[in-house]
Amino acid sequence: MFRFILRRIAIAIPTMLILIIISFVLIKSAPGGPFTSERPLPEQVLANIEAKYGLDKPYHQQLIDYIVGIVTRGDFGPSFRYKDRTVNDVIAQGFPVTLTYGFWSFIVAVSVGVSLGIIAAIFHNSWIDYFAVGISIGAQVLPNFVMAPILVIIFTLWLNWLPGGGWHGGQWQYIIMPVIALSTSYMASIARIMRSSMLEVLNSNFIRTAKAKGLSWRRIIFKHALKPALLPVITYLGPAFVGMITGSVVIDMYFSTGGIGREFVNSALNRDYSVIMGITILFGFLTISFNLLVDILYAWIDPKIRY
Amino acid sequence: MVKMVIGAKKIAEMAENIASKEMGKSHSLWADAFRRFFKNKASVTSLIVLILIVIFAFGAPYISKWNNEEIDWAILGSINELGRPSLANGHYFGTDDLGRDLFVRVAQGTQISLLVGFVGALIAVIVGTLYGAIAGYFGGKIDSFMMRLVDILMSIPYMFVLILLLVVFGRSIFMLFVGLGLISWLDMSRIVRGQTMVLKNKEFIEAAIAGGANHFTIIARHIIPNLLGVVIVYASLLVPGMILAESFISFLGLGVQEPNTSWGALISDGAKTVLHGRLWQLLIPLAFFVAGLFSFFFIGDGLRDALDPKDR
Amino acid sequence: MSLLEFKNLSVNFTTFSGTVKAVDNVSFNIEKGETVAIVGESGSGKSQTMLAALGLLAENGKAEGSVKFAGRELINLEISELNKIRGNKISMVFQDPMTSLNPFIRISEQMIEVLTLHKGMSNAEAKKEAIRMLDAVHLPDAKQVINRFPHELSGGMRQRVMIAIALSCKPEILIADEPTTALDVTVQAQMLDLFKGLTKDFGTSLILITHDLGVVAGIADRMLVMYAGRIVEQGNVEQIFYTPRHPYSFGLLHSTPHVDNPKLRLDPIRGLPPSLENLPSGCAFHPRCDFKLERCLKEAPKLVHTADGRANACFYKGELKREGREK
Repeated sequence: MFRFILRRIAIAIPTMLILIIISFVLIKSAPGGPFTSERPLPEQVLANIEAKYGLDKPYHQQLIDYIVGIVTRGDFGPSFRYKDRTVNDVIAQGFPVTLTYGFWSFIVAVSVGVSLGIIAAIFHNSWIDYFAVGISIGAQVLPNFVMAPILVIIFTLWLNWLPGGGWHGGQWQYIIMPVIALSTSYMASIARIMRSSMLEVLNSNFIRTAKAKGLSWRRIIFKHALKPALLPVITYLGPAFVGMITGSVVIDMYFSTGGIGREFVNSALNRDYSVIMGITILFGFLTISFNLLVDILYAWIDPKIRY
Repeated sequence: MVKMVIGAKKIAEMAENIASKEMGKSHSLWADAFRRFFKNKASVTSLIVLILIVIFAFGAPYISKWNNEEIDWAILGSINELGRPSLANGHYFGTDDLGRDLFVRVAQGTQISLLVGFVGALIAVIVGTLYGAIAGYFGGKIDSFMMRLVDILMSIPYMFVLILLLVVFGRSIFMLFVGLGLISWLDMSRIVRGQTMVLKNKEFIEAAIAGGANHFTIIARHIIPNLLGVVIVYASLLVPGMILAESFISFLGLGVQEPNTSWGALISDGAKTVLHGRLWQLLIPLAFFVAGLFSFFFIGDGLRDALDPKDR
Repeated sequence: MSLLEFKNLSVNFTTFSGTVKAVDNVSFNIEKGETVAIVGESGSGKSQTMLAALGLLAENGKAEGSVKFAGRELINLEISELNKIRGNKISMVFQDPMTSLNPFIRISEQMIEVLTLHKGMSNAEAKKEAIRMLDAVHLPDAKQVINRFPHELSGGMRQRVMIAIALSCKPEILIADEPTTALDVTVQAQMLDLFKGLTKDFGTSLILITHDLGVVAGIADRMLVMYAGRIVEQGNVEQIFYTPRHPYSFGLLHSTPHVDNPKLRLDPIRGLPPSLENLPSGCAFHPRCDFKLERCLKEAPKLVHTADGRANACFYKGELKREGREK
């Protein structure tokens, strides 16, 4: 197991480096520097600023400095737009918010999706099965940016139950809609995957053996069928995680939750390169670490995987 | 986002079927598939809906007396009352917040969304097919290097890279096509590679090699035509994936720019005014978005069933 | 009262192309301690008969008629009641040992769960008993093997584990569905010896589902021959082997090599087993039968019991004989 984890990390590190290099090269190939603006700065001032940010050094030196800064000090450098803020400040401010509703969305998507999938498989071809299938087909066309305004129409405009946006330190009424909007389509996909893999497992020979042993259906489902049926869901967790991280940008924009996504879009509109790059790398790091965890989880569940 | 809707494994499984069936009696295979597709009620209905949407997208501008950039000054300031959908003033779908006619705007957005979907999918299909066919055909070290690269690229959160790309090179429709296409070929390349590896051991490929054909000819004349079934099915599912991705980016205001628009941009505009009670500005583009995506998914499903008899 | 009584059992499957009758009005009894072989080609309904008795039919299958275990009706018995019998009084060993054990659970757990459920043992007691059972099925190194996962075992070892599980509650009936087909020939013989020994030791009735007449000769007391969902002949193994009365049994015997008379030419039954979706009229065997009469095309013969304890379902009463079999 230990060697398996090491091997996975050995793949994760170059992936991370490639992401950093791609971002870096993209930004350096942008026409115009970060300080090009409508009113050109005097040459001397520009040179001073560039020296201050280390932009006068050769590109490879800048890249190495950047990577060293991240690895040794966790330092993503200063913002190019706001003189008084570093990228780290931006992240420190927004990330806890993103993490909070992101965490709950993930929990909701997985727990509701898995339960719904299991129930649909157990009651195969009953109304509850059709209901689950209907939801999962419908949710394919209800991504977060469609769910968010629909939820606002229902719960804010019509029912007036929940506030249409804001965060207020993460009080529950401000978390509910972001979580539903972010988790719905992934919940539905998980339910669909869980249902079909559970159906497949329930038709397998070893489940027939379990029935022939006289085991109760509870034991058959939870002891014999659950683990194998979960494997496809676990494979899907990686893409779902990426999707939710990406979707958090929509949530922050639409619900004004103050998470990191709004900063990302604003910096994209302002061409605040260091912030975009910092956030991209942070999310890349999260994704890659999460995929690592998923691989380990998979290997832990499936005894047939040899490390 | 593409992965959200497609089980790559399932496609790979059925790809095997298609490829193995295609040898020899390819004519009857396509005829069969055609017949099966048209027996599937959901896909045929979807195809009709999609055709209606296309007719609307290109026909609406000729019907309406408004054009997409014209502002109706008469209703400005009282959009809540006068900007509603109405037959009387010719704003069949109402107006947007700036007093522009939504009927024409939706048609224009539909054109662009469909265009992005098809062009993006086309780029992804071309790049993915070539990449996968080359990796699968040559195998060995070339294959493992190329596929390791795909693995690595797959674990990068591509939406952020795409946004980065748009920021750096400017937010234009052209950039959107290229960006979407370039990040969506990964799944395609994997599927094609797997298929190619199956194909290259078939007798007719060996015969072609023995006949002295060069690698390029073999890939272009023998491998790729036999991948057509898989590619069609996968491409039909890529299109809605592309539309979803484009809508996502446009929703954030980072995609299609004014005065152009798309489903995502229209939904974004509509979503902002929901609390002012101008629901039609959201619900009409949303209805097109939902109907369009549903159609694409069901057509994709129908194609898969038609080309993969085992699955029925 | 017999231990297990099948009366007018039918099994139907609802498929896209209509209803398929896999088992058609089958009646027979199993007595305590005897070994009965059910012989037939694939699709003859021999497995489905047994799966129906234990409520293990696929989702689209439905059983009608009656199966009584020690006087108690099993068909449509409540699942919780059925679970007290399955794995406890009647247990089953399946054809494919590679896929019939749960690959995600250790052998120990898969063995212990039956004992704790049916015999109320503690985990520690159950594990001891499980190891004892593994020894009984001659699995070497039982103490180590029990802690492994199924994929770490060979096919023969897995089948031994399956048998150990099936016998661990000392069932009154053991149903073995082609227990040796998936195994190497050398292992097959060991497996049969094992069955013979164990059923004798435990006093268990054995129902052996097979298409292999060699297996039947070696182990069974009685045999039932099934064709297209019906019993066409039943009786003692010796009787049927020496004087088959149904042309199908006759054909089966002549398509099997004889070690003691190698001069006999192999003479397979011509044609293919019929598709259940589209059975021939009258006697389902008539298109392949060398002795068919006019009547066989219109009317299906009933199973007729005779005074010597045998039964067969055929209109032809003459001698079954084929010319020129000596090489």
